[in-house]
Amino acid sequence: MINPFWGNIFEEVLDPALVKTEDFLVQIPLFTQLTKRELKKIAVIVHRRHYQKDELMFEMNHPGAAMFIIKTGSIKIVIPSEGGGEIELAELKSGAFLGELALLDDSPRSASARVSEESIAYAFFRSDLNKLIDSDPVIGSKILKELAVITGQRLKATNKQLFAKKD
Amino acid sequence: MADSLQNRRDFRKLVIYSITGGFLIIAALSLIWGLRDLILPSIVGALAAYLCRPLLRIMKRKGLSHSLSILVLFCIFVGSITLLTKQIQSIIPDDEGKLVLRIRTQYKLNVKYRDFMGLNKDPRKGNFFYQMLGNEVQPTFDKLNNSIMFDPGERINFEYFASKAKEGSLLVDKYYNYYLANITADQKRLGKNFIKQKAMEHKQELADQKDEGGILAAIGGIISLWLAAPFVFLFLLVDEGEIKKNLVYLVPNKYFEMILTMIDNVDEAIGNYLRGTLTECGLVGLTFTVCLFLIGIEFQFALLIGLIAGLANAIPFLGPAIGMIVGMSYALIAEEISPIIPMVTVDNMIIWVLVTVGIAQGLDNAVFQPIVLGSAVSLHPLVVIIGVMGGSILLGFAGMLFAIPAIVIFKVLFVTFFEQMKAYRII
Repeated sequence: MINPFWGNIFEEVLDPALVKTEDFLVQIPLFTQLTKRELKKIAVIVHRRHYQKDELMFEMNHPGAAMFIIKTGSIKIVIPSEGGGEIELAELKSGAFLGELALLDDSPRSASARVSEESIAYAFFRSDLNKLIDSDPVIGSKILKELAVITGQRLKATNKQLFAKKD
Repeated sequence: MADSLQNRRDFRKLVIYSITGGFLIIAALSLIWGLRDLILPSIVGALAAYLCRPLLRIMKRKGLSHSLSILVLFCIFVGSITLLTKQIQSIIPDDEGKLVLRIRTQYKLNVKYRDFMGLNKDPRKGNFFYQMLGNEVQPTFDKLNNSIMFDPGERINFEYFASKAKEGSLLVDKYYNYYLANITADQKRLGKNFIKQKAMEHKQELADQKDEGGILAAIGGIISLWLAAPFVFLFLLVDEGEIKKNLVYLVPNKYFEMILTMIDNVDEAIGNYLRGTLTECGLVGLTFTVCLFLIGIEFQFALLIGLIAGLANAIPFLGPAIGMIVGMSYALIAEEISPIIPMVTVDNMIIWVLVTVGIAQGLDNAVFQPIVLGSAVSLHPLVVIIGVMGGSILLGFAGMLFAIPAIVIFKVLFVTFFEQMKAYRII
């Protein structure tokens, strides 16, 4: 039984929408190496956005400028089909992130991201990361290292899928 | 049914956004108009903060905390403004000094003019230059003399200062003789009109007394207005992107990524241009100061002339001329100099000032501009000329100074806006 007074004070916040930005960001693989103080700096530069259902977070072939981290809701990664509709490649939920390659350069997005459920997301811009690398190289290098690891993992996963298809 | 609800919601959104937007624009415009005197100090503070941002990043990279870095930069900003103001105040002459300065200017101007036109040897015919240009130049020169010459009130004031000065001082020994020579020249030039001025004597003295009160009040007003500059500087440096974040928050999701990319590109281009221009002007000012000091101009004056020349260098085409005029004006009235370069004398000082201008401009074109400005934004010369003229018509000297940066900002803004609109396939 929860103590009616102390229980509420120490109760864990369960609604992800109410979690503080830095407490949410610490769960994201890209930022796991950062200390609480460093996370606060990231929390200052990320942009919180609110998306309605069916809204496009970003579009295929548009230049990429930011990585998005889903706080609540869900996002579908889609590409246009020959018939004029959309082919769903994946569905991402709270805690996932997408468009991370935009942190490296402004090459066009390889797919679109469509909101399948009303969502809140954080946008982390390449330009802000570049400034961070300039002013706080330690934070910058930690993020870049994690980004390299994640990109490598995703590449391996893609290769595995390709080999599986060939066999 | 759902569509009709969505349409009604969209319509309500449009109405509310239009009314709120319109109200905010009117409120912002009336506020800007009401506080228009604060615009220039705020621009200076904002500009300094903007230019200091890379320094802040470097200091943070070196391990200094954000607050300590800001404190250091704020102290440097306030300290340099205080030092500069003190330097300038120390060389601003008092009432007596202003009168002496005008006497020296008028006397030296007349001496140099007579020498150049050969009027000392032959007062009627002069030399070749006088025969060629005398008819055109003489009326302008007379007008210049009339604008510098003392009115009767000022003559009384100067004679009062001279009577109180110690025997053997420069005022009694030298400048009083200049004063007498100027009066003789004025009498000769104006004839009967010179005597008529006596009637205005009393009125002029009263006007001078009134002016003094006005000037003091104006100086007080300017100081309190300029207090805004350090505050704007401090608060913009303290901001870690909150202002930008709040502005971007208002942008619809569809354009959010594009607008932020645009802001960053504009920020980078304008930052490079402004920092480049400031460094270039600083280097030109430094060249002026060092060269003028080497040819014997007192350090305080060399610094002031260097400052003016450096600042004016931001005005294309006209800037170098302003630096040259200020330097030559000083060389014209110079009495005793202690040059480090042995060949410099009071008589050939104007030539050395011209050499200084030549060195500064040569270095600017061959070294400073290519290295410092590099591939920063360039403008067509016609745009530059029209911009500078338009700026001077609208806001005087400040307009001339800020015209080109303002045009560059608009150019970068429009070019980037259309580039991004195309990249995001909006147009």
